Amino acid sequence: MDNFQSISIDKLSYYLPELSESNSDLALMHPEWNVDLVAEKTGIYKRYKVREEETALELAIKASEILIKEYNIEKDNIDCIILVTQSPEYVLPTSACILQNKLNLRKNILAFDINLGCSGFVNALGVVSGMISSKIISNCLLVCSETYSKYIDPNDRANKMIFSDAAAACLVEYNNAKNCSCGGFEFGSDGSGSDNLIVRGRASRRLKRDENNFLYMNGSNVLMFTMREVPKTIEKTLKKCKMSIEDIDLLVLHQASNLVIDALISKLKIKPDKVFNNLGEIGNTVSCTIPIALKDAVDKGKILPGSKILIAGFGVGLSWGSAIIEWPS
Amino acid sequence: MINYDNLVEIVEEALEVKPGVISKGKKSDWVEKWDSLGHLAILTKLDLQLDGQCAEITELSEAYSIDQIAKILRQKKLMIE
Repeated sequence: MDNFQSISIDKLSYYLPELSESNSDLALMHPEWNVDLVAEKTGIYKRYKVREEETALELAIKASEILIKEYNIEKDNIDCIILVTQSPEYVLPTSACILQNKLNLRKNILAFDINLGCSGFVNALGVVSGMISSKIISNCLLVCSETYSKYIDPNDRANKMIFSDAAAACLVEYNNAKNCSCGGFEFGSDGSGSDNLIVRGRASRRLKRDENNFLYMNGSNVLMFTMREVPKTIEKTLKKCKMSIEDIDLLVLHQASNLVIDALISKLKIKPDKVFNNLGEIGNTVSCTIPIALKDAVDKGKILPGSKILIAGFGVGLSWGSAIIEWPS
Repeated sequence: MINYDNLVEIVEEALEVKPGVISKGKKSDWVEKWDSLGHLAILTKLDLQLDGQCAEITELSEAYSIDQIAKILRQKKLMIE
C-alpha cells in the first residue's frame, strides 16, 4: 500500500446544532413545494441549522471540546490545528487561530484554515498525514465546520432541502499499532467549474442576507463532474494501494444526496451495503459528512479494527480527493 | 448507442412517470416531475446507459427537452437517427 504508515484517525466526535428542520416543517413553511417528491430523491428528511448569531467557529469549539473530553486527550500534545471551513468567522484572521485560543491550546502550535468544502476532510487529511509522516508535527486536531444554512436563500428549494450545519473534530496522530495507516491519496481540482457552486459574498460574522451572499449551485454540472471524476479518483487510489474494490470493507463517500450516492454505486458496480449512508437524519454537512459518517459507522459496528475504508470527497472548487484508511487493530 | 424510443424510455424511467407521458417535443416545463432533481435523475440514468459517456457532455446539463437531449446525443454519435 502506497501510504502513510502509523497514522490513525480513530478519535472522532461531532456536534450538531440544537435547531433542526424536518421535511414536515418545510412543508408547512412552503406548501407549494413537493417536499416528499424531493426527499424521495435526495434521501434527506432532516437538517440542522445554527441560530442567527451562532457561527461555524462556535460549532468547531463544541465539537473539539466533545472530542477532547470523550477521548481524554492531553491538550498539550496537540501541535497542529487545522480548521476546514468555508464559513470563516472573519475575512481575517484565520479562524483556526481563534480556535486555538478558545480551546486553550498551547501557543507553539501550527494553526491554519483550509478553505475547501466537500473534499475538505480528505484533502486536509492528506496534508496532515504528510506532515506527521515527515515528523513536522505529531498530533493534529483536524476540525471541519460549516454553516451553509447562512448562505441559502430561504426560497431556494433545492439547496434548502439538502444542506445542513455541523462540525466534526478528529485527532490525527502518530500511532505505531499494527496495520494502521492512511494512504493512496489522490487529489483533483478544476477551477473552470468554480461558478457551478459559489457564494460571492463575505465572511460569517457580518454576513448580510442578500443575493450576493446566497449560495448558487448548478446541480446538473456538479453532478456531471462527480460522475466524471469520482470513479476515476477511486480507481487511482485503489491502484496506488494495489487493491481492488473487493479488498475494501466500507466506502465512506461524501454524503451529497442519495441521487449522487446511488449513481456512484451503479457506476462503480458495487453492492449498496458496502457504502455507508447516514444522510437521512443529518443531511449534507459539506466537509463534515465524511468524519461524521466515519464516527457513525464505528458506532454502528460497520468499521472494526483492521477495516479498510475508502473515503472520497468531492464538490465545491471544483475539488475532489480520495484515500484508503486502515483502522487501527 | 441508443435510439429515440430508448431515450424516451430512459427519461420516463428516470422521472418515474407512466409510459407515454414523454413524447416528441416534450419540455421539462410540461412535466411536473421534470424539475431540477428530475433532470439529475435523467442525467445519471443516461450516463449509466451510455457507459459513462454522458458525464463528459456538459451541454446535457442545460438540455431541458427530449428533443434537445436527442440532438446533443446525435451530434456526439451516441444516438442513431
